[in-house]
Amino acid sequence: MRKSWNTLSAFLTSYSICSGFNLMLDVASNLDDISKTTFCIPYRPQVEGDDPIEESKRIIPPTFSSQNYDLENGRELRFEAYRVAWRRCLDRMQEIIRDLQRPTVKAVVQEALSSYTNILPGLPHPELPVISLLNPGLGTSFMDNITTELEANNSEVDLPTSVRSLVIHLYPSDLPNLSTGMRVIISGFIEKDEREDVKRKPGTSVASYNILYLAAWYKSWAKFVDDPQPNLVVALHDFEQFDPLVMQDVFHICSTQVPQLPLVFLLSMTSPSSNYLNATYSRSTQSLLRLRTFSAPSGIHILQEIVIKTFFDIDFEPDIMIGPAILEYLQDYFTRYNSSIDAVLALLQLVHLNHFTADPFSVLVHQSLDAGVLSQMQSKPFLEMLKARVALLSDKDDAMDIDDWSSLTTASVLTTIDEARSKLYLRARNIRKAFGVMFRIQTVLESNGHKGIEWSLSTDNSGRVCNVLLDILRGQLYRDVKRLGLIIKKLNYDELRAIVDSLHRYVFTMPVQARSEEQEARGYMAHYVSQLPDGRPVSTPEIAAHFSDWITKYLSDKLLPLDDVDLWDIWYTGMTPFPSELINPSTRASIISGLLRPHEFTEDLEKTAVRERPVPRPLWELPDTSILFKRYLDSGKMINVYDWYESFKSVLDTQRTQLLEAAASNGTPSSPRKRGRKAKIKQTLHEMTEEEEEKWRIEAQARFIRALHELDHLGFIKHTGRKADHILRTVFDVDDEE
Amino acid sequence: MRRNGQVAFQEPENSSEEGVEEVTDESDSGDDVAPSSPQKAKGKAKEGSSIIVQTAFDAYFTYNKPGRGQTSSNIFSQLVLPLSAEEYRDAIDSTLKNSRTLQPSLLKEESRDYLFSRFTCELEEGFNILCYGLGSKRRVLNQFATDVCSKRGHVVVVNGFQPDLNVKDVLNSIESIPHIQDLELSSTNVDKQARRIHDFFASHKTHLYLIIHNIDAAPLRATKTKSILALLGQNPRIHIIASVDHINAPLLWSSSETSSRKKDEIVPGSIPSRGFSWLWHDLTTLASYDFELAFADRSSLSGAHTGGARKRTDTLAAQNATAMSETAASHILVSVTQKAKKLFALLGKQQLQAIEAADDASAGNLQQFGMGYDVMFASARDGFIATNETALRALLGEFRDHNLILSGPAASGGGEVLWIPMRKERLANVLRSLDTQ
Repeated sequence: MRKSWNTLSAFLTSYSICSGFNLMLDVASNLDDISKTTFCIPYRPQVEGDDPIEESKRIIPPTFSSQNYDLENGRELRFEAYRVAWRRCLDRMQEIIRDLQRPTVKAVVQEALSSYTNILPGLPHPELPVISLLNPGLGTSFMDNITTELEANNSEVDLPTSVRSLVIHLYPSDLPNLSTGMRVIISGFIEKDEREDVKRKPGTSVASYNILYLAAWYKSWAKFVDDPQPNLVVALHDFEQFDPLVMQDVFHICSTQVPQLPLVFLLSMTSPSSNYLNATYSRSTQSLLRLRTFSAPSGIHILQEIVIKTFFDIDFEPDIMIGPAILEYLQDYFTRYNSSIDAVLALLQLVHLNHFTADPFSVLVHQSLDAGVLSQMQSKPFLEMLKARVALLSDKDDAMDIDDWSSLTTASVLTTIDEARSKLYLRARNIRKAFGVMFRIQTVLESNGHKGIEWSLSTDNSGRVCNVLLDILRGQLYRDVKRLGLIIKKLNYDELRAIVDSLHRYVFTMPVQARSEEQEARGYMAHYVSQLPDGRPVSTPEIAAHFSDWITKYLSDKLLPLDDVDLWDIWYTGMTPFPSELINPSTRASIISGLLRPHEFTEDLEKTAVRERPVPRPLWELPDTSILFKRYLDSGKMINVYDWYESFKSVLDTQRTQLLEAAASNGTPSSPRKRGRKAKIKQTLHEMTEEEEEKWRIEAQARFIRALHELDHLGFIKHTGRKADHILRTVFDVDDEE
Repeated sequence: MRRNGQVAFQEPENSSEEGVEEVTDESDSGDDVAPSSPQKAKGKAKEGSSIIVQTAFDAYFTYNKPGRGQTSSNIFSQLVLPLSAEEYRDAIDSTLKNSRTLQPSLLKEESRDYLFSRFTCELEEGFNILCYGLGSKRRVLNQFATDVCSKRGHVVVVNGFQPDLNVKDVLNSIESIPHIQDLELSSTNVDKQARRIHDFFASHKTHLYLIIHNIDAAPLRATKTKSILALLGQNPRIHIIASVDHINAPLLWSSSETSSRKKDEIVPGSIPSRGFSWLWHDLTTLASYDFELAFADRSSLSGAHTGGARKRTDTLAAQNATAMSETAASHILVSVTQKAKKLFALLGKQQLQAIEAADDASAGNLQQFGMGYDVMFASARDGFIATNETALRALLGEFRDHNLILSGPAASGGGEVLWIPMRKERLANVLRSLDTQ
């Protein structure tokens, strides 16, 4: 009775707090209120109209291994540098993506707008135009581009008359059933009407889900906008997730009103299979539709396009160059897990963020710091560290000499950095040039039916080019260069001429800086062009041999690895791996190792740099849930709960004995035990009164239920009605420790 | 495990006759650090002799062999009496008092600060954060909400694990933010509401931090809810920080939802995209899930199983049927007549005696200690409690309605048995308080 009164009073107190006067009074304790499902903590800016984040400083997160030589405002500066570098890279990539999308977008818009202008004559009944859009890779921006084009009045598409259209967007959750779905479609269009709302008498108008309502509205609206026949486009996102039963009725209803009501359905599909409609919808439904299918570019081809044009194109210089480890991961992730552009962008953004987080020196990416900033007292550790690194560069024998680097002046350090930067960028440019040259030669070779150096550019989705890029970054392309030289030697006049022409164009259309560096190459190309005059086939072997020698030397000179340059790690990610757990985590492994080896999570990773194999803990030292989980792993696919409980309880009994023993000896439980004392403890255990025994039993049961419910919460248990009080295992991993 | 369970099960039976042997028996099990199961022992022996190590795949096929699984026929709910809420709480309290909890290195102050500043940076760079790993992440994320997010924008904390959570609650809670309240809040349709919130944050420069505990919980799994959250999650000024516990939680989202990118700025009137742009973080806290499971029915094995609305009525019914607490019993007893109390005392004393006589209180099944209806009627007539059968039925009716007295067919022979579904000491307490009155 007394207990219940306590509970009641506790409840009343908590109630008075939660219903109480001030939300902000004590937020932390308030969040523990079990009677509320959501909590709101309003933001109170210090100054009215203050802009919370734009005003506050945005900084890069600190590095985990606390590098104590960072500049005072280093994290802020690095964030700035990150923003600049990433913005440039992102803009470039978005431009590439737009280029990739353009042809398809244009074709789709054209089709949607002209759906009702050139109908096949002589059809038995009018068909409902449906455009199915396969877009497995280009993400949401693709659909956005299409709909903005559709809604824009001044679209680029050439049509006989300017046709405007209204677009509404529907998601799978909008169409749970037919009447709601029709209502959403109809009200979606009517809400787009710019005219003032007309008051309707409720008794006289048709129901809001009736297609005739839309038809009537359309008639008056078309008159108002003064357009011959604007189209009504319904964009269905994630079409595979719409209920086919609902959709087939929607199609049926809508097809009854065409062509008076010019509806066009735009289906956005995320799966690459092109016959989803054929497989899912019945023939009678399909016969109502006039289906046109478009597919956006997809597959490894788009990844190649992005990587080549961003990192290996002479027209663009990224601030941060990605290394082979990142490129390999990118390729692997794209081909295996998620071939979408959005994922590629997210991944590269994380690469940039990571690069600027990891090293305080990355603040030097864009420009060397002001000498004034460096001479400040707070910047001393940074400067010292920088000097030490620069001094190490000049010292080839790796022997650090204190006098050596303390004598360096700030100005000389800054010059070294500037030199290193331009050297690295030059080398990166050279790689791009060399790749461009090889790429063009290979293109010509393949177009003439040669295998060439087997980059297989013409066959899409081969993914070979990514491997070539990897070889370039690792500096392993000599074999291809040599081979290219041999092939060139054997070419006939026409082929040689085509290659020389292509390269001539290339070196003369490079951006200004790159062109000025290629004075010699331009001279050579002009020479070869003059050697191979138009229309007059000359004997080519000598020219070809000469050209081959030159090109081999040229390429070998250009293709030098980036990580030979001093201080390369400021601008180049090298072999730094991608933190893959950020986007592709192993949640299951994490939970299971948390259950099996909880003590390993308590170790400080910083302190134990070299980890030896951890000693497995005895079962009774683990938390209850872990004990129960170990027993779970020991069992068959079906577990009898009672037996599980008994085996759990026996471990708890052991635990209790051990703890009592430890308390008695006041030492570690694992110390060598004496037989006599143990017997005494047994004695005390045995002497436990019946009441205590009962209490212990209840405690064990409560702990069992608690652990069982936790495992249930984590999803390890499937309840079954097949056998009384049995559960099914859902996980069949084995404990690696054993 | 099976054999182990059976051995353990037989122990109490032995204990009544051979107390001495039991002690030696227990000392054995105390000696080896943990009683190992036969299968485990076999596995070890195998490993010693061969280089082939069993993998998860092997385990799957081993355990899913055709044929019946071999388990014993013990039934937990018949052999062990469910705990009442108070018993459970007392027991767990005493456990928590004695045990020490593990503190992962991740939660030390400096690593937590590091983690929080990483979270902030990533959130501002257009990602949403999803925390996985073993242990309740509620405390850490709440701390992140109060210490970091509340200084940067509005914060809404959502307890997804609460079974009566509704997406409407979430939206209403967001709309209780002062500036949004100024808007015209006409429509109460969730879609419109979500769209309105989205538009508000797209056009205003304030930020919203949405902390969702257990976004994998049943109330938030529905497609409708998911699409609303996906809409909010793509707003550049709404940041979601969520936690998941279920091992299969990653299956909740398609790869395009997981990886879709937030736009830097939303053009007013444009069509919002949907998705989450998750970044995953391992946040193993090893903390217990007591708060998350506060709603679980501790008297039922499947009490924590998230099965939607149906589950709740089930557990309510189950609670009434089995778990009878002292408080509940005393409440019922206060409101019945003197005669009825006497009848209850009669049955209770009888049952208590039977339990004590059996000398094996832990065996659980209370029906065996019940009282035959005929015997009861006779003793009730002797004690002037009920002179005829109708009166007795009337007295019992009240108790039966409240499940304080249960009846069932007798185990041996025909007839009806009546018993009180209460553990020995609980029953004794109730009877004592009845006596003092």
